[in-house]
Amino acid sequence: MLKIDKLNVIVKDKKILNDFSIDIKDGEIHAIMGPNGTGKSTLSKVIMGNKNYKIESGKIVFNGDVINDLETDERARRGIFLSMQNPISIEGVQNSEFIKTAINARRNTPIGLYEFIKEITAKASELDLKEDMIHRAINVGASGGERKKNEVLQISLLKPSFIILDELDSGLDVDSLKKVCESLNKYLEENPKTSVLIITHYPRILEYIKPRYVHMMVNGKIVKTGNLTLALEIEKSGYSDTFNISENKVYE
Amino acid sequence: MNKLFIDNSINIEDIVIDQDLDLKIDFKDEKKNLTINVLPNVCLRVFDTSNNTKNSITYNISENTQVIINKFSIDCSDEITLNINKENAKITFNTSLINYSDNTYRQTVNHNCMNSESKIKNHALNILDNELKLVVNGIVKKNSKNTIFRQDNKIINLKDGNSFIFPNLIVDNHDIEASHSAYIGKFDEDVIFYLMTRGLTRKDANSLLIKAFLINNMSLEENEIAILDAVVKNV
Ligand SMILES: Nc1ncnc2c1ncn2[C@@H]1O[C@H](COP(=O)(O)OP(=O)(O)O)[C@@H](O)[C@H]1O
Ligand SMILES: [Mg+2]
Repeated sequence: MLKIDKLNVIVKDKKILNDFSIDIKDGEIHAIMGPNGTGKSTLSKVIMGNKNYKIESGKIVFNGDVINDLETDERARRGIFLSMQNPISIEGVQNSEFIKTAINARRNTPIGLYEFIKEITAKASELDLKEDMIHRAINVGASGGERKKNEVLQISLLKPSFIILDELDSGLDVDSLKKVCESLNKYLEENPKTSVLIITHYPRILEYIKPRYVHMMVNGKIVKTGNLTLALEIEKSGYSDTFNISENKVYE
Repeated sequence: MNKLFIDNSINIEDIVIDQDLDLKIDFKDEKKNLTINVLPNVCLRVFDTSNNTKNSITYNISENTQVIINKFSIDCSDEITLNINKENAKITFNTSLINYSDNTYRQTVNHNCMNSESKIKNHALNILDNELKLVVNGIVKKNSKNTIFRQDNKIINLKDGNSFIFPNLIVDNHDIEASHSAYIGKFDEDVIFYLMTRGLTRKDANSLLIKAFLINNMSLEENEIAILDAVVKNV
């Protein structure tokens, strides 16, 4: 599905990703954990083709194609979805009109209005998302939790094959996180080839969506890979004790 | 509500409005002087879709009135003056401009009395590399206590147009609420990135933002939105 090979990325003359590599196969769930500022969100935006980040060297391969130079929208239509850490609000652009445009960008004939309304209302209620969020301008006046639910709503309607969840749990209370994860798990059951990259610095979300691999990321690269046990170890001992090979030199 | 439609074919310079009215103005390639007198206790709603005009339109507004103006213009060098002459007038004035050539849009709001309110929003989209000037004057006279005067100006350059906002705010009374803002720039790249991560092309993303900027900022009826939608689609 997604293979990243020795990726080096700079933003404003600062190197953020450092020979970063990962290989995510069809249907696999991976988690990346790492301290703040280590480059997790940068990684997600680079995969999505954000132009603020310059790739110095290395390759991003999606379903066999190098996508380094593809536009963001093309990556999305090929099946990559980024649920953002801080989804922005957009004044004046109605959420439902935006989502309908996004659905139609993937179809030859536009979706029927009735079918669309039926589907979006059903998915919103599954997520406990207030119906008025659908008709409002994108995320305007929405809480952090509602914004995250709106991201997951879009996943269920746009049907991506590779999902990046950047700090999904931030902004969601325990009950909402559980509800949102149930909805995602249902999606993964119905679409078993879907791969997921969960980015988080708390292991809480990993109790609901179980990763096959857990990677620890420090200073722009993966320094350790394991399974759920590694996540629990990180929670217990912190990043520095779990990754104790260079006398904490990597931490400022 | 009564309806009145004004276009090039009608040759009047003075209109007196003495009852509630839906006024549609649609001049094309015109240079005209027009005075609209709004008499007391009237509710006036204006939908102005003039195109390529150099008109001078003056509204004289009397007491206990509500005036809502939605002006959507392409290549407009109009000069609009609002004279708020008597108490308890409530004015909402939204302008959306699409600019393809060199233009200057002038707007003057005169608060000549107390206890009145004007909320002005000017949004302009400068499409090419041309010059666009917004000259916006707000004058609140000494006798205008309890006035509310708000004005927001925003120009989005789609390319590298030369855009200017010249605000001129003269407030001669301290017992009022006045606010003013001016912004010139492009659409936010973070916003475009968000829309594109969902599969929208840059063009689709721009279309949604243009519609939000020029149409959804006004309070319009369905049929009016449909008219403007068709225009905006061709930008
Ligand atoms: N657009 C940007 N401009 C400048 N610096 C940035 C930008 N994006 C990220 N950075 C920097 O890159 C580093 C990694 O940030 P980020 O990827 O957000 O970390 P994480 O998600 O792991 O907390 C930080 O030092 C941050 O300040
Ligand atoms: Mg982050």
